[in-house]
Amino acid sequence: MNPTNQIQITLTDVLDRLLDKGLIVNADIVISVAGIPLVGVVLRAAVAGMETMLAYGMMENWDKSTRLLASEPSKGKATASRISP
Amino acid sequence: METSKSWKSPPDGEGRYLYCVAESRGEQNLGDIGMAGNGVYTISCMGLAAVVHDCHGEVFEYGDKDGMKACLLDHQRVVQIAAERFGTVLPLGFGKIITGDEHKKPEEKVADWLKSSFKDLEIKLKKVEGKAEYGVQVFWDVSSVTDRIMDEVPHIRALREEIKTKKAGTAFLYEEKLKKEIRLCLEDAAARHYRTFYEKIKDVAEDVRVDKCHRTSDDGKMLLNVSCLLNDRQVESLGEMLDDITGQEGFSVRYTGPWPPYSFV
Repeated sequence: MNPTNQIQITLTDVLDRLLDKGLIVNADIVISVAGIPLVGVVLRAAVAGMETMLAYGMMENWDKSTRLLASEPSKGKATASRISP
Repeated sequence: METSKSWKSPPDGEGRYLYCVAESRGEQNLGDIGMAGNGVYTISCMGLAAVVHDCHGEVFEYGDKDGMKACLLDHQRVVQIAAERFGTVLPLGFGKIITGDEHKKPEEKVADWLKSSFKDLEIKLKKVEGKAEYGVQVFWDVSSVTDRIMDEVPHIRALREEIKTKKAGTAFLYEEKLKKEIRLCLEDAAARHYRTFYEKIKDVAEDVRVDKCHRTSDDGKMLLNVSCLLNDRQVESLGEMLDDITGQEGFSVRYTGPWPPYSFV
């Protein structure tokens, strides 16, 4: 299997990375006019109407615990708890 | 909300929209490739270069939804072009603007930031050098997995047989019990598969970040969503590993990239 190239990447793929990730700049020199996080939220809400892919939530609880485990290097291995279907 | 208290509207209202940071010396012009056709160039300091365009503080004025979508895609495209030109880049998320103040021009503030973050940026550049980010999303077809559970799990099969012998009222209660048992089996299967896939991916990749699962319609339910930092050799190894997953009935995989390393900076 080869990775999908740039042309087939969806807006959701781009949103996932551009709104939540990337290099951090200390807050006191970056303006956040109405708040960059706010822009993120508003944008997500606006785009969600059209992009059903953006409807989060199905595996939220399970996802949270997994993320927590994955972010704790001391525990090393992620053990997923039960999902709520 | 991270509203800056110290920031006052600079006299000229000018700012620099940041796309990414790379290793490069001297100001370089990348052409009018920025969002809304803005000219993109570099501001450099100590061998590091910030890829920017000039803006007037408020970048989010591109009105409608399509305009905003275009901006997002433009941001990604500029980072991609910068990566082709400079090699390794550290991408910024959308909407990061550094402004000037009454004492300093915006470009001086950008240079100050590069200078003060020099060590941190160098470490991060080193970490992602020669590697790229790839997205892996594993989906499973819940209905086909359910069918398999109905046929293969002994106590569920027994329960189904038993229902046939019951009268309607009792059968109703048995069916509810059956649904619950199937749900528990599905949850166990999801947790087990998740763990297996995650461990396998972690073994192949340089680094892995777990992302949120989305609700989907076409490809079945998303079971796992991760970003991986990979070198060229690992891209192939991970591809082969993912082929094994798609080879299993009821599973499909989306493998995207290369991305600038948004998840690893």
